[in-house]
Amino acid sequence: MTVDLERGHQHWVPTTSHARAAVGGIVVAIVAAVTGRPDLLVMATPLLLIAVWSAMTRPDATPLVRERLAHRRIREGEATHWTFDIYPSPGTEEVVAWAVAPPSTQLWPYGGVSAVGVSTQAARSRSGGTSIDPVRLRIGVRSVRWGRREVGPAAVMASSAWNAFQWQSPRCAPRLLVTVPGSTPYGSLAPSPRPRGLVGLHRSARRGEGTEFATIRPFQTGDRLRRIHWPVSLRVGTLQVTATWAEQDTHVVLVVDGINDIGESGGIDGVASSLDVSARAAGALAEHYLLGGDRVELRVVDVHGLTRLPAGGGRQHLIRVLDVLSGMRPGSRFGFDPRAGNARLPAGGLILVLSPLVSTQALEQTMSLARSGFTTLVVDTLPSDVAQRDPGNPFVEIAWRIRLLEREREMRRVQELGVPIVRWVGPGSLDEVLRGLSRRAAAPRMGHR
Amino acid sequence: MTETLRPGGTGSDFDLPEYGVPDDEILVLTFGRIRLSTCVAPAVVVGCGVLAAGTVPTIRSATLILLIAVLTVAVTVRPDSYAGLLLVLTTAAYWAVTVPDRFSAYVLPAALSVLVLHTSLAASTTSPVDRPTDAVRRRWRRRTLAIGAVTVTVWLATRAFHAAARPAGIVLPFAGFAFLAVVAWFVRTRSKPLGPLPTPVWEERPVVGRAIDDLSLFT
Repeated sequence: MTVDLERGHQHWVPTTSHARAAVGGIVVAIVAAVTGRPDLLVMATPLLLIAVWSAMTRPDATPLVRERLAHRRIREGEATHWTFDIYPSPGTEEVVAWAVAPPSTQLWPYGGVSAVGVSTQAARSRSGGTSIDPVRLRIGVRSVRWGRREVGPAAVMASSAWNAFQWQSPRCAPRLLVTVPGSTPYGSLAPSPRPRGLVGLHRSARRGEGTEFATIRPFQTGDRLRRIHWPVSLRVGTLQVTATWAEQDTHVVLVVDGINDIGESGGIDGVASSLDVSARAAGALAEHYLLGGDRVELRVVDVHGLTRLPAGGGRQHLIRVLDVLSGMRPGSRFGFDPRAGNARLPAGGLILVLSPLVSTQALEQTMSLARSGFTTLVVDTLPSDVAQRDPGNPFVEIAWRIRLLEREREMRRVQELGVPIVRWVGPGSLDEVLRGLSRRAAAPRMGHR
Repeated sequence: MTETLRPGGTGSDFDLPEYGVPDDEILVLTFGRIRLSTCVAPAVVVGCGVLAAGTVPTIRSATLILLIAVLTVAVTVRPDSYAGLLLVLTTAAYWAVTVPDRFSAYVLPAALSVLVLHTSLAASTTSPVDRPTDAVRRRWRRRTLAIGAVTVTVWLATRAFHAAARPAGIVLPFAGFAFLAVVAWFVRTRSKPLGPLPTPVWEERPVVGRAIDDLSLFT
């Protein structure tokens, strides 16, 4: 049947089924009476009976509908449900709810339609003034890709006996469903290259209050008495104390290049595009560092220009980070210079650039960061099989091979500035490079005067 | 292949079983049965007419058969259109033109076929897709059988009048209408007066922007 979501009718209206039974039955019965043919009356009997039955059981009141989307924010691959509580009026026999699925969203049951029959006795009990439990319909909503999408519109339709009369609710406005990037498992044991905060889990380059042993040194004024190492003190004859390394947090800046989205995205169950990899990697890194007590700042360069989420810590900040990531849209803003925000970057922070490294803007920004002396690490998010994704067109593969050769040359230019580039492969992707950066940070450096 | 989805959030009792494939199968089966009934019922009426007439269809009957075929295709494609009404009227006209015997026994399967045709069309338009639940299917089947039983009773009444050699041509229609009036009265008296219900109101909720909520999702 045709579904008109734009306009619902507030009253019960007769359907073509009722017209068929009533008009067809009456016309055939009249012809039978006029021509005196009882066989035609027999043919008209079922239609007349159904028409009379339908007219006598026509609902008089309109149903009451309440709807609710259970969750406003879910992760990729998770599902929520759209619940419709329908209080049927007497005479209502079947209720149906349906919704329209946006891209990258699956609805269950098939087509987003949820149908159920209403017990006639239950519908009648309301006429006695007693409340009844509503008929509850649920449409499952599963989001297979991160992003902000509106689910719906939706509507509810009720029908009477023999589908003779129908009532359709007004269209329910679409509901915004925020799908944050999936939780990619990520863990790292590598130390942070330059922890500069006050408290945290990373070993500082300085000695101070902490738990990790550094050395044993002579007692100085101000040292805590519990730090005195009595065995050594008795052996050497003077007071000796245990020195420890200070523990600090670090300031991590995630710079996500959302200018290009390369490759087809199959959602959480299929192949990943470059922006999928970037979003999921950024989410995993943010979760890893934030749950480790570090501060994370997020910068997204996409069609909106530069979106900056100031540094913060804790679980709530993780939700903010994921929320901003879910709002990414590929594209570039005309005249936007991504280097404009470099001046506000913190000294000593760890800057992680997540980019497929195919846009000039991202390369320029990375080189600018390296020249400014920031500890920068580039995470390559270009899918490895991007050149083989269109086997039917050999020219695409050739074009991609040429482009990838150019990209390698551009990546070497970045690496010559001391910026390591590492491909994102999940847990432990950055460990080796971060250890190298830590060693480099601890080494003596020649400064310009 | 099926998979069980994990709903978002905690403490939810909602589980989505068997995503995808089984629904497709149900849809195809249900769709096929209802459409098959829609196609077969007019063919049964035509066949009964040919058997009742006992002769080769005339040009007038053949024209009506052709029209029935066209309308059958139309209602199969669009069951919610008025082509169904035209199909019922055309079927009755075909019977009146083709069958001269007013008390033919073949009228009973023909009338039951009309009932099946109407029921299948009505059932297929209760939902945007043909996906009735088992309870709904049982309800429709039970009611169709009840209407069919009454139809058989009316047919038996016509046969009884015919056997008694009564002038049934005038009496029967009025008797039938009187019977329908009794049925209508019976149905009406079973319906209790309805109290007023509130007007339908959607539960409005604010549009979510970049606000942070649902913290439990990540705990």
